[in-house]
Amino acid sequence: MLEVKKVSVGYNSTEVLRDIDFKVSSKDFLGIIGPNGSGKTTLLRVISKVLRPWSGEVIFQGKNISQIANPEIARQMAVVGQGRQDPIFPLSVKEFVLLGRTPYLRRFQLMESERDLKIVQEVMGLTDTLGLEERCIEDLSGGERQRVVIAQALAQEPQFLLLDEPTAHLDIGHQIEVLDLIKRLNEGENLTVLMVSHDLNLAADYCNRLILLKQGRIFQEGSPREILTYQNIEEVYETLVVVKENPISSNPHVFLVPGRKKMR
Amino acid sequence: MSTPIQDTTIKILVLVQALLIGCSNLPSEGPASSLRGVPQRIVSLAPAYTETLIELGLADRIVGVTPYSDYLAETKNIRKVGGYDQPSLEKIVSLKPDLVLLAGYVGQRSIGEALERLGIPVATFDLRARGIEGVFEMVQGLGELCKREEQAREILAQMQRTIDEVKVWTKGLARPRVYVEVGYNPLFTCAKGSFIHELIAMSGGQNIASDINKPYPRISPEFVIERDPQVIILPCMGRRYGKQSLLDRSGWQNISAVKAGRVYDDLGPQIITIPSPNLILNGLPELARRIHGKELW
Amino acid sequence: MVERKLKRWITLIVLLSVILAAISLLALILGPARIPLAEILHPGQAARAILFKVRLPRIVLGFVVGAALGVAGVIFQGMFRNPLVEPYTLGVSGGAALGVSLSVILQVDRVLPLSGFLGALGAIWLVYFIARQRGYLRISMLLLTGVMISFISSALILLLMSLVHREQLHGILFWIMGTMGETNLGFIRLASVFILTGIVISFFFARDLNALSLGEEEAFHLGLNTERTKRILFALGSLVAGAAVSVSGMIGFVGLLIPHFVRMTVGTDHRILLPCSGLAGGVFLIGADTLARTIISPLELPVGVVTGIIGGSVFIYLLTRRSLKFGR
Repeated sequence: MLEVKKVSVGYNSTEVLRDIDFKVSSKDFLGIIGPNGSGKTTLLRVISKVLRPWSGEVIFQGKNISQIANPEIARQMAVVGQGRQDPIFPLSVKEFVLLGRTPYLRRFQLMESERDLKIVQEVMGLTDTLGLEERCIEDLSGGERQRVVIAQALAQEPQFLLLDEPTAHLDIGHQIEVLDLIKRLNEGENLTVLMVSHDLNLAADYCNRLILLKQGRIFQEGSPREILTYQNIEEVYETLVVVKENPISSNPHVFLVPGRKKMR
Repeated sequence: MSTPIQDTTIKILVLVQALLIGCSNLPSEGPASSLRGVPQRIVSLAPAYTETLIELGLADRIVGVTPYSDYLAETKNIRKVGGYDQPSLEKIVSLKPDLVLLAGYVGQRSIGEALERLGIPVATFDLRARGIEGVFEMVQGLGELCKREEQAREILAQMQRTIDEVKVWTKGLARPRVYVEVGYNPLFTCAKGSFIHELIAMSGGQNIASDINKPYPRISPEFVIERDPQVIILPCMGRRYGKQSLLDRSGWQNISAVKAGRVYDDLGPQIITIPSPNLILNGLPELARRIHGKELW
Repeated sequence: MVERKLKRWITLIVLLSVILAAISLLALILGPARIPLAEILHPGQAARAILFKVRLPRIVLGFVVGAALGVAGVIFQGMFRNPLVEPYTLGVSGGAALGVSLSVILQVDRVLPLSGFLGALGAIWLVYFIARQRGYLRISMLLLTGVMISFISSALILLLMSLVHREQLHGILFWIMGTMGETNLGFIRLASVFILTGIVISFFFARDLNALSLGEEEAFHLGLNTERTKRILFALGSLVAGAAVSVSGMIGFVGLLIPHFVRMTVGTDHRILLPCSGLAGGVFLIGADTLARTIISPLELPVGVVTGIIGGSVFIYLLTRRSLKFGR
């Protein structure tokens, strides 16, 4: 589905990512993890065409993304940001999700079609947001907000969903809610997912593959069990941890060790 | 939210409005209280004074003028005391005048006060709203101030003669409706209190704005079209705006004056816009000629 | 479902159009020259000249300029995601005013609107040029540069005003205060064609504006070609506002208030916001102009004063009644 080939990129003259190379296969649930400043968000932006790589290329479904028109990309790939900003002028949830159909509306087409509305209904059903239709975006709680944003992304009928720290501002209940939803979509609707996350344990429980970034390069790539070892974590995050098996999910679980000095 | 220029504009608007509406209440101050003897170094802050002084034979006593007097050949070598509406107190004082003639606009009032405090004699005449009588008063007053009463009387007599001659000549002639366009952005004309308005009457014309009680009222295009003047005068005030623009105005083509081709923009510079003896001596006959469309004598 | 939204929109547009027709009729009837109703139906020659050659062009101009300001206001508020932006913030009016001032001073004031437009173009180009970095048009830079250019223009204009002949000063001031009194039909026609074309084109970018209101990156992810769209919207808004300013001087508040007012009533979807703001802007300006020229007849208030006072007061009143939410 997606190939990142030897991509290097940065901002102004500062290089942030160097020689990034990996593949994403269909139905993967890939997690990108790493410390702050390791380039996770930058990677997401290169993949979604927001940033142009300095060298290397990003191949999406066989074609270099710089050769694919934006609307075409948006019909295949959807990006869910961290949901920080409110739109400056208040919108209803329904209108907001409907905006997800933008890549399908043609230049001279004034109104959405019946099909567009049907899809909005469907995705709102999938994200359990049907009850929020007429509410104003600003009035939603964090979890509701995030589900609505995902609904909008799903309205794009994507094959590939990119998420940038989708649980960043959510409480634990909502975190599970949102990630369960995504997992369901990944397994049930054949949605390929790439998720940037700073939460190692959630990544471990939901992703089938992880890429660990350190200072702009891929440190290691593999399954959660392979990646989340205390040696890897300590080397990359420079902090003391203990890794044990999660009694509920059998996935690795990282325990922080408070009160000890930073390593090295 | 409003731009800086809108803020400042409001301030300036107030100022300009005062300039335009303001000074009708200003009394004519005659002889300067502190004047001793015959003035030898005169600063004139209005072209009307400059012209009159020249007529009185005192051109060589003028040491300072404003740029508004630029159209006079005699002022070529005289120092300018500042911008158009901002005479510079310093400049004036540096010329060591023994008489300063003020035009009475709000902007000049503070200069007058400052000069008096410095012991420099000032004199002000209301040139804006006292009509032709104001011109007579000014000529006489200046004559007295400069001890040129003889010459002043001579000039006044000449002016009166001209007025009488024109009166005789226009007796019995029809009185056409006249519109004098004093300003065009926005439209301004002259009415009660303005010397131009009185000039029109003296020339045997009928000002279409004669029922308005301000010397220089702002009017709308509708007003002019409605009143349908038979003669239109564009006094030249040193600008290149000619009658073609007026003829192009939407809706003006049906005005009698336009249809008959009686729109005049060829009056000599400043002859009906400066309240000086020349206004009567030159301006009155020239205006009358155009209003009636034929030579006087 | 779609039907209902479309029906609602069409109703709104029809309603506004009716109001527009009504206020235009009122503006035709009222004026400094008293024309009795009977004569309006069978006008004599002078009356006809006044009605159709003086008042009608003014009404057309009022509609066109009002619509231009309303639509440009919507475009810029949507593009900058900032409710305080108005069409003049980007330095358009500063440039136009500077152009006009210069031409008044150089005494070529028969073509004021053209020099105004050239000044506006100059300012627009300068802002665009400065705000572009490595091929990306930065929204924040656009705003800052525009504001700076406005300030600089203001200062330069004040400088010019302090140096000139009283009459030229008058000419500059009069233009700055805004007027619907342009009498040259050619200019009115030119401006109208320009503005109406620009407005119609902007309708096709309504959906783009909807997407942009989520944020630039978000809009990009929805498939929008954001660089191209930003450029087009900037050009459209500036040119339309520039044309309006060059023919009518600076009339503030319309471009700021109308979008807010319309948004409060019809919602934030630009597909209805744009046309309604155009119509509402026209209605508002025609109304304001009619008031400006009849309230102390035969004197005329500067129309910018009327728009400011009325618009501002109404807006404050509405704000205290309800928060700036979408109205349903």
